[in-house]
Amino acid sequence: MACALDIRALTAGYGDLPVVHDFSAAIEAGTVTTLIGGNGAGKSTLMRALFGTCRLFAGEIIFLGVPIERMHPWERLAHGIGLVPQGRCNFASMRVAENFKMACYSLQRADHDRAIARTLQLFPALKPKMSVMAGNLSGGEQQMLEMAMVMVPSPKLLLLDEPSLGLSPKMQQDVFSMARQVASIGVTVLMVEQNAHGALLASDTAIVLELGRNVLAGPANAVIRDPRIRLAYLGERSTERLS
Amino acid sequence: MPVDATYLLQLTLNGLMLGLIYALIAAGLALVFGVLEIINFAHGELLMVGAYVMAFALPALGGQYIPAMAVALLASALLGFVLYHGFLARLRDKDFERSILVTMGISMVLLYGCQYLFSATPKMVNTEFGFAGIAVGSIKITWTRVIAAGLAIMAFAFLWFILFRTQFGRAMRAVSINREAALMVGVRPQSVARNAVVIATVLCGLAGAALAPIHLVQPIMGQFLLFKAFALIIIGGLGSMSGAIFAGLALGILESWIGGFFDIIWQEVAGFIVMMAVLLVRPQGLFGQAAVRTG
Ligand SMILES: Nc1ncnc2c1ncn2[C@@H]1O[C@H](COP(=O)(O)OP(=O)(O)O)[C@@H](O)[C@H]1O
Ligand SMILES: [Mg+2]
Repeated sequence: MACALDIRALTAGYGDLPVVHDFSAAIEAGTVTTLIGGNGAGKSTLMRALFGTCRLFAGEIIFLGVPIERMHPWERLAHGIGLVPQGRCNFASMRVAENFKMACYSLQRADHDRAIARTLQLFPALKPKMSVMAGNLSGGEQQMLEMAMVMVPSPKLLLLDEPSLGLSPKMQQDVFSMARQVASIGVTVLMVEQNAHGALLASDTAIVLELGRNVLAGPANAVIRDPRIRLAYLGERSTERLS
Repeated sequence: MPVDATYLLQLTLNGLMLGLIYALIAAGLALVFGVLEIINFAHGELLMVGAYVMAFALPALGGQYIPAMAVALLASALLGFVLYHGFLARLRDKDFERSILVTMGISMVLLYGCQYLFSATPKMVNTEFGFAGIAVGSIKITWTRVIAAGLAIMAFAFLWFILFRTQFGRAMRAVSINREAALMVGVRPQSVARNAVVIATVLCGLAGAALAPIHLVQPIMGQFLLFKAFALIIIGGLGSMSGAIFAGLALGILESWIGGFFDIIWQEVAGFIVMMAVLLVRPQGLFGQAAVRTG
């Protein structure tokens, strides 16, 4: 398969402080990749660096053959990169319908209705909510809304930063199956997850980030069996396992 | 004591007119606060510049109201553009303190620059309408007031249309609701901020130009109004434009009633008393959301 996203020796952070160091990874088109790592490892910073909302110190990001690391976020969006940031990220005091309208911001006027209708087919649960204020939706619905908003301009790379945070186990499963479904239509998905187990089961590839560095990368089904990973991220205590 | 209905109507109409001017100023201040997260201390001087352009354009154009108003609005748009690109665009995110100092500096330069150029002596300007007007029963309202009110109402209708019916304006609301979400959908915050500053300056310029043939034009005129506008956006709920407009209209009418029945001194204090009362009872303002921005 073709490499969609090639990250080469990326160093990124805020102000004068690099958070992600010398990070390299190659991600194949149409796959789901999960990025796991402890709190403050720099997962969100890496996602921001890919979308262009933090400071880049060094390195290259090649997306579908085009170097994008110097581009502004709206230019990256136009190139097919979408980021759903961590935490609530919608227009809380606008109705869902108007949130969708804003999601069309990068599109031509004539394409708005079609793009919204196409996205709603992927997220049918949002259809009856169109006239509700986004801020009044449940946490899970808001997460779905944000994913849907980023899907409106048909990105080729979907970056999800902790999409299952604060959701019920059922909603978490829905988010992961949504990621798989999006990948099945050819979109490359890179997601950060705290719920590493559920996410890894839905992923093709896994990358482990520690202190801003790529310490392990490989097929998800191998990473999920790696004893060090089980110990550190899958909430398993090695001694208990034997008893 | 029975209140004379005609007198009360006269006071209310005067108050409405004053309230529309307040609302124009407060709406711009709220817009800039929402989108750029700064308090523009030069906002009063934007009004003053609008008034001076009108005061010079009117005699130059033979007293014709609408062409002179068009010149004032155009000059205001240009001023907003320069204000943004010259100063506000250079502020970084979370630069609130610096924004206060910078806009205060601009305010002082405009105020004293104007005083140097045109002296502090108040100017009186006349229009093609002179003191002619329309009569409603025994109440007479001059054309300059009627047109000023009409233009203000048109400006609000236009503003509403932009903010709620165009992507251009929706993007301004989007940035003020959640900056990160605005970036997520591809908004360019700098362009949106520039548009907001230009629109706010034009609203303020309209207020100043509309006031020019009604009140005295002097360099200090913006200063009087700025602090009232601060009170208004706090009463309305910081960043809430409809709140600011509502508070502006209400204050205009309240002041006019107070001025009509009590010592004129109380008129100037009324807004601030209301502000303090609102802050104590409803700290988020009348139209503000209890939980402020999350983004
Ligand atoms: N906006 C910011 N400005 C400065 N430092 C930040 C900012 N966001 C995160 N950091 C710092 O970067 C480090 C990594 O944060 P983050 O990328 O959010 O980690 P993770 O998502 O893996 O939990 C932390 O030490 C955090 O304090
Ligand atoms: Mg994070």
